Amino acid sequence: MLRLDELETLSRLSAGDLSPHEAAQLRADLERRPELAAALEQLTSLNRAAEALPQTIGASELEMLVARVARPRRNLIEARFAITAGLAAAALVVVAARLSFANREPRPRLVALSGSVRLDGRALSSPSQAIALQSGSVVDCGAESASIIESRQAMVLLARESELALISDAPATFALQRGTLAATGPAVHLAAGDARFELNGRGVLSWEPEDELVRVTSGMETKEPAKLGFKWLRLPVAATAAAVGAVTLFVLEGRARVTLDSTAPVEVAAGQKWSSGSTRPSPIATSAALTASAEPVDSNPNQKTASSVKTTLETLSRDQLVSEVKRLKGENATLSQQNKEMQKRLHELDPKTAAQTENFYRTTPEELRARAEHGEVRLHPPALIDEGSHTFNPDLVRDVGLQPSEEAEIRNIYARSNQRLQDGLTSIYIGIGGDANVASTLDISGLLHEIGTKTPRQDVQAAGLIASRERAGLEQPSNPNEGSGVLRAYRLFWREEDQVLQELDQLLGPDRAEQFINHRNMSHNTIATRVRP
Amino acid sequence: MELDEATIQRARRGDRGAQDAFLRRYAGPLHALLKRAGTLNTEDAVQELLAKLLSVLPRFNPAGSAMLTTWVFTVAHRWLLDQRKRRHLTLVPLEQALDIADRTPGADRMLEQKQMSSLLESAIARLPDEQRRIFLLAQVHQQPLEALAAVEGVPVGTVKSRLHRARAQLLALMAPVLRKLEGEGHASPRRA
Repeated sequence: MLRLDELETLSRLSAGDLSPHEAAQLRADLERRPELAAALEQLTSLNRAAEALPQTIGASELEMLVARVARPRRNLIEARFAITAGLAAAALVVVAARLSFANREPRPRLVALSGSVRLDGRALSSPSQAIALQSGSVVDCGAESASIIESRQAMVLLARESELALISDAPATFALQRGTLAATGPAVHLAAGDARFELNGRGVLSWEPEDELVRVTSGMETKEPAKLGFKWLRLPVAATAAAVGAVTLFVLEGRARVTLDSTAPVEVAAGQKWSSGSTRPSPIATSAALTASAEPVDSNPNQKTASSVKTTLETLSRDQLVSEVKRLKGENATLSQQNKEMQKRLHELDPKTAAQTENFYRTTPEELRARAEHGEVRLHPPALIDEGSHTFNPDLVRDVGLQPSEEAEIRNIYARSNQRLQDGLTSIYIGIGGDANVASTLDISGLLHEIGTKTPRQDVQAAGLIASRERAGLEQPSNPNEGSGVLRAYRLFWREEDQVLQELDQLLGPDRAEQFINHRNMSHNTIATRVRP
Repeated sequence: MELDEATIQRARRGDRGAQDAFLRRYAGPLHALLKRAGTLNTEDAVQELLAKLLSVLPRFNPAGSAMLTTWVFTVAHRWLLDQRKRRHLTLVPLEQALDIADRTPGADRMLEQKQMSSLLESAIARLPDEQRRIFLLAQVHQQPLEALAAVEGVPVGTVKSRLHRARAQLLALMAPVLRKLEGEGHASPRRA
C-alpha cells in the first residue's frame, strides 16, 4: 500500500504543481514502480468521479425549495406593478402555504433574562422581548446571564457561560455547544456533540467539567423558578462524578431517549443520568448522597462551630463572657466593613456594571486620553442595523418619551450610518487590494476583519496608537485620507459615531439623546482593541 | 450554464422571474455542496442560504472580474465557515478513517451493491472538515483556488496542500474499490 505522502505527490504531479526536477524524478519512479503508475490512473478515475457526482435533490423537491425561499422586500412602486400580475398566483400560494404550514410549529422564541446574552453575536438588552429564532441561530449567555427559549413542546433555560444553537425548527432542536441547560416539556429535542436526546419530562444537559456544573446549577436555582414554571433541584455533588469533560444528561422527571450514530438508542428514566463516556444510564445518586447534599455546602462547618462554642460558653465566667462579647462585636464590625468593601469591589469588577457605567453618548476627554495611553480603540458600529424593522424596548420608549415619528427617524439615522460604513469600508478594502465581489459578501465586522488581515501587523499596532491619540485630540492627522487601511477604518467608525450623535442631538435634543443612548435597554456594539497592556 | 447578464441585472433589481431563474440555477449545486459538507437539515439550510444570496445579490458587480458562479460559491463558502464556527461538527481523523476503510469486511460486497459515486460520497464524508470543504469546492464545483484561499484566509499554497491531501486520502480510502473496478474492467465514470 502506498504512503499518503506518495499519493499527495501524485496529486501534485497531476495538477502541475511539481517543479520540473521533481516531476522528472517522479516520472522515472512511475516507470520503475507499477503500483505507483496504477495509483496515478486511479487518481484520474477519482477526479472524474468527483466531477460527475450526481445532484442531491430531485427536480420536484428543487422547485418546492425555490418556492419557499424568502424574497427581499421590494419598494412600493415596483410592488404595485407586480400586484395585478401576481394576484391569482398569490391566492394559490396562500392556499398552498396554509395547507403546507398549518401543522408547522411556531418558531422558538428567546427571552434574555439577565446579564450579557448574545444572539448570533449581537448583544441583547436584558430582559428582552420574545425574539423569534431562526434555524441556525446561536444564543450565547455570558457570565451572570441566563436566557429562556420556548417552543411549542419545550422550555429551555440556558445557564450562564453556556451556548446553544437552534439546529432545526421542525421540530425545534437545540444543540448545546458548551455549558449547561435545563429543559422541560413533553417533547424536548436536544443535541450535544454527536448525541441526540428526546426528553419527555424535565432534565439537565451539561457539557463541561464537574465543578462548573455544580456552580451553574446552583445559580439556576435563583432565577425565580415559580415564575418560569420550573422546579429546580440542587444536583448532588455525587451526581456529577461522571460529568468531567463529557456530555451528561440528568433526567429529573419523566424519561429520555439518547441516540448516537454508532449505537442503539438508550432509554434513561427519571433519577438516572447518561454520560457520553458510558454506554448505559446509571442512578443520579443514592438517597444518602441526595440527603447529604441537600444541606448547604457551608452549613456543616457552621453547625460544628456553633456546637463547640456552646460547650465552651458553659465553662466561662460573667467577666469572661462580657470580654468575649466585646471581642466578638469588634470582630463583627471589622468583618462587616471588610464585607462592604469586598461587595463594592466585586460590583465594580462585574462586567455588567462596567457596561452600564460606560458612557456611549460622548466619551470625556479624560477617558479618551486614558485610552490613548494604552493605544486603546473603542468603536461602536451602529447597533440597530435591521433597517426598518427594529422595535425599541417599551421601557426605553417610555423613559425617553419617544414618539413614533422619532422612532422611525432614529431607525433611518442608524440605517444611513450603517450604509455609509458599509460603503466606506468596502472602498478601503478595495483600495488595499481586496476584491470587490468578495467585499460584497461581507458585513461591517467582516470587512473590518478583512482590512485587518490585509494590513501588516506593525501597521495595525501603529494604527491603534495613532488613532487613539487622534481621537483624544493629542495629535492631528496631516491628511485624514492617508494612512493604513486599519487607521482609515478607525477614523471612519468615529466619524460615523459622531455623525449619529449629531443627528440624534438634532432630533431629540442633547439631553434626550444622551438619555436614549445611555438607556439600560439600549443595545450597543463595541469593538475594542488595545496595543499596550 | 451561466445566467445571461440581462437576467442577472433583472434579478438584482428584484424581478421575480429573474430571481427564480437565479434560484433554479444555483439551488441544485448549493444543495449538493451543503449536503456533502455535512450540513444538518440541508433543505432548510439551502433555503436560508438562497434567501441570503437574494438579499446580497444587488451588491454583486456583474462588471467585475469574478463570475456570478464564483461569487455565489464565495458566499456559500463563507456561510459554511460561519456554520462551522457555530456548530461542533464530528470529524473522523484520517488515521481512524483509514482504519475504518481497511477493516471494512464487506468492501467487495459494497462494490457490488453501490455505485462508484455513493462510495465516493461516503469517502468524502470521512474527510476532515477543512479538506472536505476544499475538495468539494475545488474538485466537485470547480471553484478557483484563489477565491477559496481568500475566503479561508490562507495562502493559495495552503489550499493546494489541503486539496492534494484530500485527494490522497480519498485515494487511500477508495483504492480497494478502484482496483476492483479496474480488475473487472468497469469503465471509469465520465463527466456528463
